[in-house]
Amino acid sequence: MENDKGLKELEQKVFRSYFKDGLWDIYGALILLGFGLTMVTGWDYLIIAFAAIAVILLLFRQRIVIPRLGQVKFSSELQVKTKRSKLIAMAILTFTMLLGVVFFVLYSTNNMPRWLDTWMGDYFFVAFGGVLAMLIAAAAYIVGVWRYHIYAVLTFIAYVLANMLRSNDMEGIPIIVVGCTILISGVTILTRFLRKYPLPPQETGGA
Amino acid sequence: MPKSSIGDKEVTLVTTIDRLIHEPARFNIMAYLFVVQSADFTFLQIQTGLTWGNLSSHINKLETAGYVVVEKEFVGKKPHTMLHLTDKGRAAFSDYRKQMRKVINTLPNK
Repeated sequence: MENDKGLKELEQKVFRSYFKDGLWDIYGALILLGFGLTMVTGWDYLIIAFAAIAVILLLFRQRIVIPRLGQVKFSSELQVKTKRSKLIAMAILTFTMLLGVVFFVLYSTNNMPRWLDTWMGDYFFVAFGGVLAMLIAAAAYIVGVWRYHIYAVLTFIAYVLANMLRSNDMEGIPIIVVGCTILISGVTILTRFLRKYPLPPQETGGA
Repeated sequence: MPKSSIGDKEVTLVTTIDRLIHEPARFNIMAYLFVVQSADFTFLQIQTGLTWGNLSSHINKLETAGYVVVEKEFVGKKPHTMLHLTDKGRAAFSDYRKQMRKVINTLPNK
C-alpha cells in the first residue's frame, strides 16, 4: 500500500540516521590501515594496535550518537529483521573464519591440494579482499547505507591491486590509500555530524 | 444556490477527520512515534525540527487525548523522558490515515 510504503520509508530513514556519524567508517578505515601498514612495515603488532583503537572508538559511539540524536527503540518487527540480518552476517563471518582455519590447517600440515595451493599462492590477496568486500557489502545491505557499498568496491580494488603489486613488495600501498580515503570520508562525516547535532541542553525534569 | 464542486459526502468525511492529529506538527510527532516502539524528547525534536517548548506543548495535548504516554525515568542522576503511542493513539493514527485517503479519493479531480 502506498501509505504503508511511506511509513516504512520513514522507519528506514530513522534507522539510517543512526549511521550518519561516520564512526563505523573510521572503524573500517583503521582496520584497513592496520592491514596496510603491517604489510609495509612488517610490524605485526600494528594491526592489533589499530584494531584496539577502532574498538575503543566504537565503545564511545553510544556516548557520541545517543545524546545528540536521542534514544529510540525500533518496532519489534524491525528489531526481529535486524536480529535476523545480524545472525546472517555472523553466519557469513563464522563460515569465513572456519574456511580460514581449514585452509590454515591444510596449509600447515602440507595437505593442501596442489591446485588450491597454487591458486592461493597466486591470488591470496584477491580471495581475502573478496571476502572482506562481501562482509562490508553485507553490512551495507543490512543498514541500508549506500556509501558502504562504495567502500566494499574500493576494498576489493585495493586487494586486487595489492595482489598485482606483490612482486614489487608494494602490496600494502593500495590498502593504505583506500584506508586513508575511507578515514578522510569518515572524519568529514563525523565533523559534519558533530556540527549539525550539538549536544542539546539537559532535561530539567519537566517535559 | 451555486453548485459546489464538493458534495455533502465529502464535507461529512472532512468533518470527521481527527483535528488533533491533523495539525502538521502533531501529525509529524504521531507519524514518528507510529513507526517506532518508543522514543525520547531529543529524538522527536531532531526529527520534527520543533523547538523544545513547542514540542512539549504538542505532546501535552496528545497526552491529554490519551494518544501518547510520557514516561519519566532517571538515567543515573539525569532525568530522561521516553514517549510511546498508546493503543488508542495507534488506532487513532490508523483511522486518520484511512479517513484522509477516503477524503482525497472522493475529491473531484478538477
